[in-house]
Amino acid sequence: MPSVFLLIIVLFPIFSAALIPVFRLGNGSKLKIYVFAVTALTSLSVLSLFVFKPVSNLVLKVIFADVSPGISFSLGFDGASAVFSVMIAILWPLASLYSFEYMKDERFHTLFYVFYTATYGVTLGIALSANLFTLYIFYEFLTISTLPLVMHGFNDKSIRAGRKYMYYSLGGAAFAFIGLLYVINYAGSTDFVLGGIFKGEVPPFFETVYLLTFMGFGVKAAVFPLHDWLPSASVAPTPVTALLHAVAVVKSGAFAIIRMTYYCFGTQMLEGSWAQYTVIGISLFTVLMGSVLALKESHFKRRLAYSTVGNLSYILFAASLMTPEGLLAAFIHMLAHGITKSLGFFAAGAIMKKTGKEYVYDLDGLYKSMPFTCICYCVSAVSLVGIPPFACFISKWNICLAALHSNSVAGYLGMAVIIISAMLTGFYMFTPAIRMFSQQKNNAQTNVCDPQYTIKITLALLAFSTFIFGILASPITSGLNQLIFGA
Amino acid sequence: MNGSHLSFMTEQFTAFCVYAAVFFPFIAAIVSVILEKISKKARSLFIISASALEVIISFLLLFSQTETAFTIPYVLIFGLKFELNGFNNIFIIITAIMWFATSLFSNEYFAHYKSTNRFFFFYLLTLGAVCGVFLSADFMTLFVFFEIMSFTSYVWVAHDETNNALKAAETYLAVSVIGGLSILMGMFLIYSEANTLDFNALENFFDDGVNGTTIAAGLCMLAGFGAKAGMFPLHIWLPKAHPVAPAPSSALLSGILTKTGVYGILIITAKIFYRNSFWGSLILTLGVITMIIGALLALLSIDLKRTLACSSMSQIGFILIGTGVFGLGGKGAIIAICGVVLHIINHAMFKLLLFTAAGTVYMNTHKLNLNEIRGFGNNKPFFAVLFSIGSLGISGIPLLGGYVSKTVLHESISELSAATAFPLYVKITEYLFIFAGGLTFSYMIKLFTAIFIDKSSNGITDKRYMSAITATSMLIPSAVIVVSGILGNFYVRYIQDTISSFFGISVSEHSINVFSAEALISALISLVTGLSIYLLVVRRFMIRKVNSDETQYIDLLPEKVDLETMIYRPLISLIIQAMSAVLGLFNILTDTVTAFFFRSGIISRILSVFNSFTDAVVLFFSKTGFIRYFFNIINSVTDYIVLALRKTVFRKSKPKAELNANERASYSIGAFLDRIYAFFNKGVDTRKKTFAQTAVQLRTVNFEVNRMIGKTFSFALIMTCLGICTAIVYILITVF
Repeated sequence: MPSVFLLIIVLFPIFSAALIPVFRLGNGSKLKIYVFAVTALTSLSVLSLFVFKPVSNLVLKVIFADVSPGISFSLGFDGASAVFSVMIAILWPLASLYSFEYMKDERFHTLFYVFYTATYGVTLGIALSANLFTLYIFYEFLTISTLPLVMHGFNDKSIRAGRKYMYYSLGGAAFAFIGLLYVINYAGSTDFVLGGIFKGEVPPFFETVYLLTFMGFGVKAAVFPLHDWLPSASVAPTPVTALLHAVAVVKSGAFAIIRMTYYCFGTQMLEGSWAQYTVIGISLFTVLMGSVLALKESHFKRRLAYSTVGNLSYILFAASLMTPEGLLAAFIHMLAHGITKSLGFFAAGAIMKKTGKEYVYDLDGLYKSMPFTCICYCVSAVSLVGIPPFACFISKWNICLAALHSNSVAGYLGMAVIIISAMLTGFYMFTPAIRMFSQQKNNAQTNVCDPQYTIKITLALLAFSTFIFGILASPITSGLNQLIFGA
Repeated sequence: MNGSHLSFMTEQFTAFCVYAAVFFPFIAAIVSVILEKISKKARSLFIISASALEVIISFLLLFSQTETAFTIPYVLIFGLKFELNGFNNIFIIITAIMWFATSLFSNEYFAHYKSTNRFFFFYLLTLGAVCGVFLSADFMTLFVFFEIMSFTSYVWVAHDETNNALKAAETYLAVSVIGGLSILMGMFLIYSEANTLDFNALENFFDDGVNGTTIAAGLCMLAGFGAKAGMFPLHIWLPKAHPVAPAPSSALLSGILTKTGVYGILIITAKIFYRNSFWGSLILTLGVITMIIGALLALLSIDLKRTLACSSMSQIGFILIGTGVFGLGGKGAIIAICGVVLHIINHAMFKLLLFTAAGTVYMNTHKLNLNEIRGFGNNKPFFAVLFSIGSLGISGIPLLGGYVSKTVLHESISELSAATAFPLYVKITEYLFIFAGGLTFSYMIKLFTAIFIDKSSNGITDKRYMSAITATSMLIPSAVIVVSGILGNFYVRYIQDTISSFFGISVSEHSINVFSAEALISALISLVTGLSIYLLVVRRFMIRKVNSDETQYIDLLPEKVDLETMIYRPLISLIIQAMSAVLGLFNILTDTVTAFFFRSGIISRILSVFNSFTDAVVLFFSKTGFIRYFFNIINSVTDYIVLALRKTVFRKSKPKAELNANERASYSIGAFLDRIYAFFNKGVDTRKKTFAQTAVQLRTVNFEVNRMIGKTFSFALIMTCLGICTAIVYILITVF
């Protein structure tokens, strides 16, 4: 299989999206079929790439010889790309399926699906980038292609949220750009190599630049103090919040940080430096802050958004341990949280769409009218707290073990923070769940019922995979280990 | 394992039985939901037969040939590991019997209940989870099933969905979550120390003693398991959850679910902290406090089920004392562990019997307050006999089960006092042990008098108050209590033989004689104490005369006074408030900073300076003749793309075009065209719209579009996307 296949995978959704307005598919089933066909086809090709990995190191490289030797456009498919791209490939068709019913009453179908489908390609671009330059390009594209989705409501609130999102993201990317130039200048190339590409002496301002780049990419991963766009952005339609703000966008940020830390700057030079401790401190602080703010928030979707803020920093914390175990744990939590949180958002979105209620205290007695959705929400809640045998338990277990094995004070502190945050998670995730099941204040609306089968299928599949991920943890963990670190 | 083996209990068949014990209930739970759709009667029958099957399996396991371990690989992180030995087999048998008896009882109890389907589903799930807890061979497996059990039993507590029930359930859930995470934390620490979670491997690893981290780990796990067991000061859920839960679930909560916590503590003590004096005395002390406080609370309460719940707490205290003595090691250890197991069995049977009796009372009167149910048992001799077997048994009357286990526990304490460095401390423990036994007797007399001897205030008719099946479910534990009491010495010997191999302790040389004179005397002291407490304290201070022949029990236990409302809730909310205040401050800070930048207009002013600079450049060029046209074209290209987009993508939000007199230029052009038209058509005008109108409309659309561009980003973004596409096309061209 020629390596051009990688480029085709990335470009196919983008081009197909561009063709939507040209074909004038309308708002009906034609559009749905088209969008689903495109997403499914892309996902299938990603999965086939994963299964029949043709060559061990599949890299496509376009060198811009006239600019600088460090700059080239290259796509590759290594372990980290495989994990991230497969996660997206599994979740995207599900989210599309969900969006079809959810978006039924919304305006601007064409616009929505153009950008929705294009974002798929861009996110895959981030996953498949083989050097920092390419990653940076797609990272910028991601901001731009998701902005219309955030602003989809086109009212004051969503425009403000969109503006905030753009300022934060583009501002962050500027910091990342500093890092990019630094890497080109001092390392001579930007290719991702596990273990880092800096050789010899530590170049000047190494830690400072690392921290700047971390914060730059950290904007998308909602790290304190640059997290504020994420809760605001929950005004977007649920398929967007679920997929983009629980999977694609935020995980791209985390993925970029992992790439930068482990594959570019290199853990050897960073381990034990003040930059590492700062990064650990920031991410632990964000973990606590996200959980506490989620507890204080009474808007259902914003609560989940704050929870995402906290959970992303679990990934960052694991990554900033700078050990192979930490890297593995970061990827596991990336997957587990992706599945779990999309389930949570999808259930919350279905509830909000069906009942029109947005606040946690309005959820009393909802189980009577929407049993299926409520159970799915509970699965997500149980998993997110870290109760076995569900997905997030596995990831938290791995993160804590990685923290303990790092044998530093930061590790013990991190474990304590994670356990405390898990308790807080229990409080903020179970409060809505308990309200759903209480029948005391019986204000159940009679006209409310479970959503249609497309949404139900999505929810059921996600709930099932949350469970399976937990049950089959050891094959998944060892598989990931092999994938990331080679045989 | 000691005892006879059956030839067909091969290793494969044993493994099958172990898996069946754990996973069959999970399957049965699903089947029960499906069956309910067909017929309620079939469902009830199915549940009874499922638990009967569980009993059969549990007894079959007793005849397996060797101690065996089984692993289901690939599941969770280390795979699920099970182990069968004499010790946990006993627990499985009690569990199965408890479930079988309560399934008989719930048949009648739930006859008029709603959502029984949900109850029975979780009822069977919990059975599987409890078996999983008892059969597990490593902490991971234990933890998994422990958590499943916590969450499935939450549904029991909340079952009535009254305010009280939900509140109690909330407490239960909070305790479960926090306790579970606490255990998890302990597991992390243990794993980082020993790199394994297998019980047997841990035993070897910690053979030479423990360090600070392990102690910390142990304390974390003790908090988690102790909370489930109802150990002081984490007992808060226990007195709340039992009264509000349906009677069958109260029986199970108190009889078995608290024992899972005890089982956890036993495992830690035996495998990690065996012979650690700090650990042993800690458990011992906590046990003493739990025992005394539980008994006092029970004495003060006037709610039937609440009294029984507090009594459970007290009995757990007895068991913990045994565990502590066992943990200290030495000669008393084997006696202590034997006493612990015996008391666990006995207590399960008492509570099964007493809670079923309480459930019968509730079923008929729908009340639990002693003042309201008094005299219920008048003229019900059969009921009185059953209830008195339970209450006398738990008080430790000789020839009933409770006497045997308490005597063995007492024996172990006396063994300890001979060997310890703090004889005074052990002596006090011993006296308190006897005193708590007395308290048990006094509150049981209080209950018995209230229900059977006091005259009924509101004439309760002696209709049929329970079915034969319910009676059977009470007869099973009564029989066990009586038989085990009479065959005391054999019973002790058998249990000792069965469990000794698990704990790796040789059976002590001299066998215990539970009917020795000393033991009988101390039992007598205890009973006399109890009787005098009842006569001197309860009769005098806890009963008030309302009029000449009517008395009333005084509620000395105000609802508000408990650790939860006084300490834990304020503490947790204080911590959370403080945390959110501090963290929220940071959040506000970042918010203010960004607001300063984005709302005060600094950025927009800077940008507008740049903007006007570009404008000035464009103006400069456009003033100079030809270039002006070029810029005009460039400028209008954007306009037309935007226009095209508005025609395609943004079609729905079409701006309204109205005739506006201000559009002079367009109007005059239009009017000019109109005149020309009129000139060629000789004054006859058949059009719907004049050119002037059309021109003004176009102008307005153009204006609107421009305004929109200024207002939203979307057009700019679409432009950017087109740019991206161009870039990608460029890349594509470079590739090929």
